[in-house]
Amino acid sequence: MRISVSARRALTRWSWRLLRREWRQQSLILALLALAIATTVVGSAVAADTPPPESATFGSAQAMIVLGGGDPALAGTVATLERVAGAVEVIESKLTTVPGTTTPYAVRAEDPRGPFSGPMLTLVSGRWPRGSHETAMTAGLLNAVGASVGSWEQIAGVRRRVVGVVQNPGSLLDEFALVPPGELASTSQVELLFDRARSLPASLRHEITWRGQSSSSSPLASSTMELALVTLGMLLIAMLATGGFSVLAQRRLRSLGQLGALGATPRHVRYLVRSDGALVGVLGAVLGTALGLGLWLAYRPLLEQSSHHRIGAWQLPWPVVGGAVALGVVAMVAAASRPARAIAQLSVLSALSSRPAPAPRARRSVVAGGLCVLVALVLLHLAPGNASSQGRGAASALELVGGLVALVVAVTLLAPPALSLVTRAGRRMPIGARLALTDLRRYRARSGPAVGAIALGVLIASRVALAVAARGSNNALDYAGVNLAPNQVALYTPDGPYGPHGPATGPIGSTSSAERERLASAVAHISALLGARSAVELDQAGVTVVSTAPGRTWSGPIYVGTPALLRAVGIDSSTVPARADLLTSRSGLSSVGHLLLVYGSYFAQRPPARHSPTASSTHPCPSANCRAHPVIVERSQLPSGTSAPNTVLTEAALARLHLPTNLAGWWLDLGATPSASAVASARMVAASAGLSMETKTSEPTTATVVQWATVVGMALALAILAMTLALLRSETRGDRWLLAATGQSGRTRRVSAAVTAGALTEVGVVVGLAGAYAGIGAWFSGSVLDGGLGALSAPPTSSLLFLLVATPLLASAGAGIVAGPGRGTLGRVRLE
Amino acid sequence: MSLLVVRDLTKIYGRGAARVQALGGVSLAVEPGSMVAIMGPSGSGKSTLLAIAGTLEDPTSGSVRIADADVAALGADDRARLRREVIGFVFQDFNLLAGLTAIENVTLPLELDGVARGRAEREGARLLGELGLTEQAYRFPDELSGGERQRVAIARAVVGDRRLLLADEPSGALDTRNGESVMELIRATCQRGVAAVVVTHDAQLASRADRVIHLRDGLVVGEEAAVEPGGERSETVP
Repeated sequence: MRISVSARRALTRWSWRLLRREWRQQSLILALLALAIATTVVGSAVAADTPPPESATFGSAQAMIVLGGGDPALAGTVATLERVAGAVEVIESKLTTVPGTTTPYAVRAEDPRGPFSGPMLTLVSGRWPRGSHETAMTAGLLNAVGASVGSWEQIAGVRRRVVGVVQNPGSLLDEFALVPPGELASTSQVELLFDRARSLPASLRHEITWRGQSSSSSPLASSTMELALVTLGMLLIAMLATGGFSVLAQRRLRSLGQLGALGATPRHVRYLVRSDGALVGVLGAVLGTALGLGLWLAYRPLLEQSSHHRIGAWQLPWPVVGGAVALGVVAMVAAASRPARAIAQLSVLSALSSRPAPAPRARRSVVAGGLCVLVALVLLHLAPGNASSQGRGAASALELVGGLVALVVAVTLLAPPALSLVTRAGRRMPIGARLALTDLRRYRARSGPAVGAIALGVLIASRVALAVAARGSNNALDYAGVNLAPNQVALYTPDGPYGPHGPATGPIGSTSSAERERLASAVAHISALLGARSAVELDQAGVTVVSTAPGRTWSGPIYVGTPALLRAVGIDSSTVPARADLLTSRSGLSSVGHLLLVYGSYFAQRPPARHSPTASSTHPCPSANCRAHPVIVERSQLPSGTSAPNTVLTEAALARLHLPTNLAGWWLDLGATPSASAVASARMVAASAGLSMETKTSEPTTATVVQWATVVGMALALAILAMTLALLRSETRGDRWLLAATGQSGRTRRVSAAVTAGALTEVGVVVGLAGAYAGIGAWFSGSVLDGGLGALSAPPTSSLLFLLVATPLLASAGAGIVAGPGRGTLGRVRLE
Repeated sequence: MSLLVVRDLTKIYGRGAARVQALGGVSLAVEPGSMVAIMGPSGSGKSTLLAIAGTLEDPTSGSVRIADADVAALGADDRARLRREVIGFVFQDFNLLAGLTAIENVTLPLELDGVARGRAEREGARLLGELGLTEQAYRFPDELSGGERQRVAIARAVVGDRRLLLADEPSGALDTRNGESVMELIRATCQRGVAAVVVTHDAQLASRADRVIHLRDGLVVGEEAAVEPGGERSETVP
């Protein structure tokens, strides 16, 4: 039987009145929801508006083709495009670095009055450059090179006078020097901007980047990821809200019974409780959106400064905001549905006498949870395999998302039965502990969702910690992590891996002995400025590693393992096996198969950009410039930074392959972190000598990420626990009064509160961690390239122990301290 | 024809050592316009009888017919409809719904039944006016006195032409004056054709009923007929 409109209206009206009367009981859930939505509004706006807009690269054009510098087909391509698309704007660029640094900038030959470049170019001061000896620069570049309007600078091999300050209003981070069109002798790349064409030649079609293409083509676009995060957050809030709505429904049980006596059907009762959830959801969404918009409007000017482009006041990712609002309402309705079902099943008489609804059966929950675990493990095991298969990226993303969702559901289903198991163990405990565990079992409708929410919070945080720890130490090919330690500095010659001439893979140059001496003298000066303990020469032989297996590519330079370098890192060169080709600190690299050590003219014959990364037939290994299955020996003494010499070619291999070497740079070991002024002075010396200097970036280390994940997990668990205890206390206040009246001591009360908190947290943490390990294990077992299950051999033990031991102890201690009101307060409890 | 017919009603709670027989074969018929009082000590089965007669609980055996419908043959939704259309409850502690005004409490059963709000409100206002509660119509329950609350509860119990009023200690939470007033009101309601079953401990108030049935240990142990003007009650002991 359907509910009539009149009945819906009457029930909703009553629900709204109850919400107004009892808003304090729901304020916690309301606040959580409002905060989550406000965070989503601000967070998504920041995420969407921080990247430069497309006008920063496209101007007012709809499409772009990027060609390499000196492409002989340029004139033909421009002519073809002009024929089918009308106006074409040609922007030539030469990429270079600020002298003395690894900071890149572009010298751009661009017409300020071009058909499409208007939104990409504005004059801040001075005038536009006119002749071959004039340039205009961005303010940042002027500052970096120490130039000013009117000064003369060496730009792209030509001495030019700075006549103006320009900027790309779409991206103020875009640092460039502007020269008139046709005034660049050599170019790194050429951009062709044009509008939509009626028909394009097939040869050009795959070269075109369309406006809007990059933001929508990714299956894991930022808005999708944001919505996924919001969904997870809402799931957490919904689990907490389930407990809140259960308590509220229990309080209203007599009224609900009375409603039944008046002739309300179970459907009416369900509607009433759900409408309460919907109203809380709508109210929370309205409050959260208003709060979020207020915060956004206040923060927008700061974001404009930090993101370096203008942002409209209402330039928000509305689909994400709308999605978050809808999810918030749906989450609250879903949270109210479980207590709604339980209450509607009660007989009218039971409701009238306020008898609580029976707790859900644990066995059903275990079976469903077990099935979800199986599904999650299978999907997560399959996902990495598909990720590395060509054309299976979308399937992999679906498997990953499906697996994670199944894992989350499994953890939330299995946590309450696990709690039941623990509470059964308390039958022979002292009275305080026994009472606590009995209450947890009796009020499982409240404690169950709470322990599930704790488990979910811990699952998310510990999964991040485990994944980061495992990947950080095991992705041996595409090596990730920080570049350098604060007390390390790398100096590169122009031919070095990060010098202006780019990474040396293939034939290498030769530094004259006079040049070598000049550079060495500059390095000595820099070492003195920075207080370096040692400065070791880095040599390169133009070798790199190619993986013929799909899905992974090599990253990082390979230097020559000279006796001096080995000695500097603590390796005795006599202990290096003669058959070894490479020494590395990358854990697991020696066991990765399908590797080629390539050198000489390998890439000249097969340009890397044209490689198909999947077909092994595209990776022939001619003996003249390639060695298949190089012998790799792992040595932990080598430094682990991505820019550090973490992988070196042995001298024996150098002799075997008859490779020449050349100076690449120096590796400086500093006694302590240098001061900013010392670094600035060193940079000036490096610039004047033609060297590039690299220091530590602000990228967080693996350890930092793991520590933060642990802290977040712990904070989440404790916050959820605090809310749960508040709910349980309100539920059991009658019992507490009774116990106080029968002479319960303060000590028993404290023990009882501590055991409640400890048991809830411990069960939540254990289930959450087990879920995280299962998920990560399934992923790595399917990912041979990530090192398989071996990747989990070095878990972040201290972080895990902290979660497992310290969090429940903290929870117990906190609950014990705040537990047990005095006599006066208990009197008030009775009065309530 | 009787509006409520109860035959050989038994109700047993629990099993084994915890087995309790709340009713042991009670039969009762209530005609439209009559008021039946049920008296008995605590645990005699009065409230159980009322709950079964009001379709809130199933008997262990026996039958209940309300407005010619066999309750045992009705599903949960049909029983709920029967409560909305035929049966009205009045409880000792009023059980008005907090958050709804007096008139909204009265009109709620009508609105649950799909009656448009305007019509329901007119009906509620009329009833409250008859009970002298016009000024209190838009007040919330916690702004009303005990007597006023119980009068609102009675209005809610008879709204929408309900014909069977089941009252469980309606004067139990009231002072003597208000208690008598409430019983008068139920009496007056019966004179409009409503059949009423009233559970009470108070013999003085029960004396206003057409019949008084005495229960003890789940059995009818006595029944008194109406007091004729100037006469005495006739007493029957089964």
